[in-house]
Amino acid sequence: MMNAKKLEKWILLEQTGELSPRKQKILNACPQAQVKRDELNALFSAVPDENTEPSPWALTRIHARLQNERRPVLLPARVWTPVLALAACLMLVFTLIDFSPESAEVSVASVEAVVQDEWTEEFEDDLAELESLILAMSDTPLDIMER
Amino acid sequence: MKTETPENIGMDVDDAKLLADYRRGDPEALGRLVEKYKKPLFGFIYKFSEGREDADEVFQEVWVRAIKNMNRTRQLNLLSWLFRIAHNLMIDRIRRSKPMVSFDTPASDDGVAISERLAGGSLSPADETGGHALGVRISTAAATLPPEQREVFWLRMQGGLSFKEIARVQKCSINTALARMQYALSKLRNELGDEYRELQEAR
Repeated sequence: MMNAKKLEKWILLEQTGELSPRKQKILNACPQAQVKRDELNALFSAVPDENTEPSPWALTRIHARLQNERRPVLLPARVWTPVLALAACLMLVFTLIDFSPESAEVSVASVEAVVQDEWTEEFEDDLAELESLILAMSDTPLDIMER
Repeated sequence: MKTETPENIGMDVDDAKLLADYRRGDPEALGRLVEKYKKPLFGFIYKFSEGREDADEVFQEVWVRAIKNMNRTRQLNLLSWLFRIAHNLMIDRIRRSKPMVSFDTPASDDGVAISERLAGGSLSPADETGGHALGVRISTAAATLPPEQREVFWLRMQGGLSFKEIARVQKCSINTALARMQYALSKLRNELGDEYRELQEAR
């Protein structure tokens, strides 16, 4: 004698063809099995079979969506415009700045030359001469304290 | 009971061929696949959506996701895979707190709300005489079932899935799927009450 729950479970599996042959034999020998089968069949046959179908253009839409997603992704103009502008600026900078080794040597030499400048007597004489020249050209004294 | 893991369920040879044809650029192959599964799949989706337009959107989304992700699931049963995607979409909708079936929204294109259809007097004479009355009552009673039980019930009834496939869709054991079906049937019997007894006596 099989309990009602187990009987129903086995019949549900029998309907889907998932009951093992061994259990099928046991079920076939069970006197209540046919009553339960009939009860379930009556209920299931009363369940409405949904006859609604997708819209006729559903397939076209599915296909169109899949086609769209297959296309390479193009970035919108608002994304690639600033990128292009930045690239142009960088090009300009690299064109204007001379990164050649010769120019680098020249700049190093000029720095060295500046470093080598010293306050020599000769330079002081030149400076004094320049000062007197300016004084000669102007009526006002160069030194503000002499006013 | 011999159990089989869902991963061992192979794809139908015809389905695999149609998918391969579609990938090679034959749009008619997709048409044949959609045609093959549209009735159980759309019927199931329709049970969980807010009318035909909504069901149509979900149906399209299921197919787009299925085809897009097919490379990862080449070995799986296509129908189970489609129902699995539909199941996930429905879970997402529940999480977004969008009601699957609102008692105030039209249940179908005829604009009749579920709440109206629940009341016995709303059935048309055609429904009564056409033998649809009990069917409508079963549908409305099934709508009151907890989501997992309702899903098992419609996957079995509308989708025609085996319990092995249902278990795969719900990511549970076959025994859990069976138990859910049994709970659903038990509640339906209670909900239908006298009508169920009449049904049994009439056979």
